[in-house]
Amino acid sequence: MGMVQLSGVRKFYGALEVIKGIDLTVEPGELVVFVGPSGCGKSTLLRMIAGLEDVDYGRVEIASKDVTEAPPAQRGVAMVFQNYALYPHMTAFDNLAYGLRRAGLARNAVDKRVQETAALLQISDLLKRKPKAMSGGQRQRVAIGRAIVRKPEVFLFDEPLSNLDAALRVEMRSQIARLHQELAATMIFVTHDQVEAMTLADRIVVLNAGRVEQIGTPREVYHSPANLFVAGFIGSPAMNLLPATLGPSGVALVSGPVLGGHSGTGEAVTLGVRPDRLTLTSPESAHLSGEAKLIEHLGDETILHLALADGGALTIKLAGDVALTIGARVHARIDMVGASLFGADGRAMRLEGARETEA
Amino acid sequence: MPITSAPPEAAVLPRRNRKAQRGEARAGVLFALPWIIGMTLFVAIPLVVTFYIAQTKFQIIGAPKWVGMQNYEALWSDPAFWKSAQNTLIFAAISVPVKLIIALGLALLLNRATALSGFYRTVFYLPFLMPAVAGSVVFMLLLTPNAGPVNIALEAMGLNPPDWLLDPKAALWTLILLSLWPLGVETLVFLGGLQNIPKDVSEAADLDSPKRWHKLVWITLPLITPMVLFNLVIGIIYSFQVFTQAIVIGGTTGTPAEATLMYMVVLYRAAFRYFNMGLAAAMATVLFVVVLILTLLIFKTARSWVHYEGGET
Amino acid sequence: MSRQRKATPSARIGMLTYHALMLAISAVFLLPFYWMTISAFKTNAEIFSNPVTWLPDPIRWENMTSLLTREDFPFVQQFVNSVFYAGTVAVLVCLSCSLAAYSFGCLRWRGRNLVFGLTVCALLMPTIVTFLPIYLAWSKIGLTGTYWPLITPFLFGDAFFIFMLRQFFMGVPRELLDAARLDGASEFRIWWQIVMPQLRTPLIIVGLFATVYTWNEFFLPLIYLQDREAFPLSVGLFTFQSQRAVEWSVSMMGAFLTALPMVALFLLTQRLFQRGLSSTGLK
Repeated sequence: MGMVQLSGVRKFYGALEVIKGIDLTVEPGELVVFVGPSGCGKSTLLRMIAGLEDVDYGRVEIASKDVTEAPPAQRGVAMVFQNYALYPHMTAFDNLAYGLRRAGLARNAVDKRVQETAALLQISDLLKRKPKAMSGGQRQRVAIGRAIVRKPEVFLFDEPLSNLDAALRVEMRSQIARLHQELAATMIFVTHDQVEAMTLADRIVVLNAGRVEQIGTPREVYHSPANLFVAGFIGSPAMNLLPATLGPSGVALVSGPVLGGHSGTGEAVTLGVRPDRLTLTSPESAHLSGEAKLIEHLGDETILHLALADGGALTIKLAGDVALTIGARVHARIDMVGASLFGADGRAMRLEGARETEA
Repeated sequence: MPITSAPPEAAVLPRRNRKAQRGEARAGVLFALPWIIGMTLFVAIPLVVTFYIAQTKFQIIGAPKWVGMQNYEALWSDPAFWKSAQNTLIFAAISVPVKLIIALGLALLLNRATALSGFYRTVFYLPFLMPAVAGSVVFMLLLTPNAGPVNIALEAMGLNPPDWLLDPKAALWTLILLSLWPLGVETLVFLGGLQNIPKDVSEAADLDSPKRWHKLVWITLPLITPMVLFNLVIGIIYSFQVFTQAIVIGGTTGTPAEATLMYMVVLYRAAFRYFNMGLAAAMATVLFVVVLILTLLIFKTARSWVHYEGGET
Repeated sequence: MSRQRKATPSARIGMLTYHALMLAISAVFLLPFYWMTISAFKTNAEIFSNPVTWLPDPIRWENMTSLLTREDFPFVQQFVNSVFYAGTVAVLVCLSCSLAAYSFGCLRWRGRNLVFGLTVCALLMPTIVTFLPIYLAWSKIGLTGTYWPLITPFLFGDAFFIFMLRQFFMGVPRELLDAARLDGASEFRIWWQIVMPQLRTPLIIVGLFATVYTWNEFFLPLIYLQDREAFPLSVGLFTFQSQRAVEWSVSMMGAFLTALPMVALFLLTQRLFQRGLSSTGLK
């Protein structure tokens, strides 16, 4: 199974640079997810790996071969598209067989490979059908089959689940995870859905405006975001980003309370706190107080949206159903374990005494 | 965000070959190549040559002789040129807008689902399928003075009908009337536009105001302005070239009394009856310039009255 | 209708008025067809009878046989010519225009928008502006009087049909072409094996349109062809009518039989036709 290596990869659309120099190594057998807001270049990057978009500068290597200028079919990649892209006038069998036939495989070999793949994906009974006669999930499986059947070095997925309904999406997600294990294949998966990214990935690549913001395991990007962008992008509801200063006795919120930890000489920083790292408390021991503006009762948890006195906002995630009404005064305490600190440049700073005690 | 200068590494890293797009680009050019050749052979070169011939004396036999602006001067003093230009302008100026209005009205009438919708659509479309020659001949019969069924019917109602195509005063107007018959294409283009209006937009308009004409004026018409533009441009260009009906009904002399003499008929006459290619080419270039100016004018004003979704094409 | 909810009286009246109006308009539109058809089966005297007779009595079938055997109106030969002319053009249009339309609608290349813009210009260009030099060239080669000048241009394509087909090609998702590229198909194979099979219906539509346009084409064959035996029906009917203006029954039979194939073709393929039309409008 192949390794994918990108070095200094850049792309321009006319004068506009859409991919701004990316270095990345995907290890053999790894499942890497590209995630980022729409327009961040994640799909373009994937298509560059596939050879569907040109690489203007830099190098793409697949299985230690420089394929930067190789045509798509000779790169050992297979791709699953967002809208399936099944050939609508061909049966599932022909859809699977098309690439093999183009590669010049003998009739018997094609037949055997297609049957094997179909059995693996449990689509054997669909082989005679055309895409029109299939459900969304069935089409998706055939599309995956078309990728698998060619035994590629690398699988590329371009938001393949975004057109499925919620239940099917969960099912397909687990199927892809299963395939990844069974085939021990290298996979690159593009999505804008961070739940998908968190559940599937061995490593996540967070992209923004054509640049890599962070590469790490799902836990790393969640618990120690490298910068404010990642902090705000990963996690739902989003991390609270509170203005603070580094005082002599540690981090101090602009509103007054001193939280301890990292000390400094009054430089402005941003404190990032996940909504679930806030707890309700009495007025005396509170770090922050505000008025409940919106309360989302989700059954097993409750999400509080507070308006703070200084005009800021705060989101708190509480376990269980909390009996509170809109307009109530709420007092919260920050659990510094798992909090993040960002300097004026937006990059993460090490927060003393935080990471070591992580769960 | 335009990049004014490439970042420093650009100087170090070589720019890669554009492979993927090059294959596609090569295919794109190859697939378009026959048509590019066709356009060059049958449009671009002839267009230039027409302007050349227009400045020569050329009788098909023998070589063209350069005469400069003589053909245009001859046109300027040719009463047939002016008469036919006038007829054609009147024809276009009345026929096109009236046709569009009727077609729009029919499309609005058609834009509802009833058991007979398909039938009505078919009926309005059929005249388009009638060869223009056949259609014109049939109308000549229908409108025969005295003995034709239309006049018999009108006389029976106590009216005093005109002689239609044989009356020098009425002939051009009759021709305009006949040109309104094949309006199926325009109607169906409008209908397509009406049916493309999303249902929720239409329903939102219903909720905003109960008056039907409010919806027509503020919602429906603006949303089908692209179709109006399309029909208008095509309609004007084609009505300037009206030929078949004119020559079937009025021959090459525009009987009666040059009332139906159209520009294309005079041009045809000059080229293929009198073999005066230079003069005919001069007429063609005049037509070209007039149509070009009109089209540009329409497209120019279109910006202010045509609604475009997204703005593609 | 009877199974619908009971309509209120005012809605009923509205419906009746609507249909009365539409049927009246339809009658106006159909009158020329009707008059042509009944006149084709009358004698000259019967055509101009006063009061008007709305049905031919007796039906003069002999008009048909007389038309088919006349020497001054070789109808059968001209019918065959028209079929050949329209059929050839329709086939050529489908082939040549789908090449260019695919390039404009599915492929990205530098200069594409420019060439397509020129195509739209060509579409709007009055025929006559480019016609005289083309005619002179054909006459120089000595091919006037044959169908070559009428057919050859369609080997290269036609602006209108390219424009129309492009709308359909633009509907083919780009992902599909990408999938085929990953599968190792060449650009030509993608066109032929992946894209074309999906556009069967649009191609039939375009072929039908080309058939109708060519069947009704008058100006070009009038100028290029000289022999009665070589004329297509449109020119044949014109020539006959302008020379024998008083023989209305034969003219009407000729017009009837000229229009009939197109009307029949349309009625058989109505659905397709209307789909084609809604696509000629600007998207």
